[in-house]
Amino acid sequence: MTDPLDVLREPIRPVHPDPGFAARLRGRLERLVLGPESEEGRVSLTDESATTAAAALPLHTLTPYLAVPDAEAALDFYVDVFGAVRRGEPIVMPDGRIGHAEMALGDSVVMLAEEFPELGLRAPAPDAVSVSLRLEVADPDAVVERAVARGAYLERPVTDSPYGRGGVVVDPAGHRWMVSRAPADS
Amino acid sequence: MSGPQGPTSGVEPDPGLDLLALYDSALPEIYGYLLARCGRRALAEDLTAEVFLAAVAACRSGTPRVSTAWLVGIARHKLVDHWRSLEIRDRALRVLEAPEAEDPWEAELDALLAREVLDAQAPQHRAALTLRYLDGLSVPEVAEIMGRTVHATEALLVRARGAYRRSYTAHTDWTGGGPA
Repeated sequence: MTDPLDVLREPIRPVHPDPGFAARLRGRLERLVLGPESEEGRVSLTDESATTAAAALPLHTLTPYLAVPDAEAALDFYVDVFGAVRRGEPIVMPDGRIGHAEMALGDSVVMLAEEFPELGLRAPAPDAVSVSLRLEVADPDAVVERAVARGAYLERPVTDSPYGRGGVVVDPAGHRWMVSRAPADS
Repeated sequence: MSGPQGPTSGVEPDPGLDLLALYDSALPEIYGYLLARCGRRALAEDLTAEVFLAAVAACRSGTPRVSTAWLVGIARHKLVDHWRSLEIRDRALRVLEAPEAEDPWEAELDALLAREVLDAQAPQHRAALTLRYLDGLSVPEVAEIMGRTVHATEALLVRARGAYRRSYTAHTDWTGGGPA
């Protein structure tokens, strides 16, 4: 049976986009592909290329947005302990509070802001965390150790489980992180 | 057993480099594909950029092989995502669609008018019809890209064809009869 809508069939016809657009997109791709890599791999990023790669990171479907008591302290902790890379400059509100900041953790973006109780936004109270963040790392033992050394509370030491190797810490801002490495075959 | 997995050793080539090598030849294909389906240059550029940036992450997390056909697959998803977001935005404005009974439609459509009518369809309908008819995909393939079951996709296509036919017929009536 023929379908009248078959008339819509449209094979792919190549169209050259605006050269400026093509060049800009190539630049973004090159930074993304070549920037974070070096001979030793991704840990030895230069600061500049890491910052560029973090800035170019597209948002995934879900982005956590954390409320923290002190945004600068929290960013420092996430950078030093989790290897986060800041994305852009924090936005400071007229009253001095940081209203928005972003960081890249691996291939994900996390946003954060200081507490705005008038908007119903507060950092988690002790023993009252309702959302946990699972963080994939290559070496959970080292990351958890660094976190505790920087003042995180060790909720569950690193162990092996069917879901990989990992431990759980609550960072100084009150957020609960499941620092994990997925099983090798996953 | 706590041995760190370590960074990538550098022994395996980064598929991101394959993507860069493919960029010049793939770009007109992806842009041409998107432009012909979304019809707006700025939107086609945005979606093209999304396709390539998403491809970097996707190829590094293991993909069969970086190819233009694989990029077209990503482009289809981006197009569907775009229309889905429009659909969510517009949902409040639209009345519930009644179930559709389909009787065969035998007509010969004018290709130009057919495209014009398609562009005026509701986003989800446009998405389904684009994948089914412009791309010539099977219903299960359309279902996979739209993240629906085959059954739900068949139902969506029935509704989409019904709405399309009403628009097209109204249009030809208005203009005093089509070429058919």
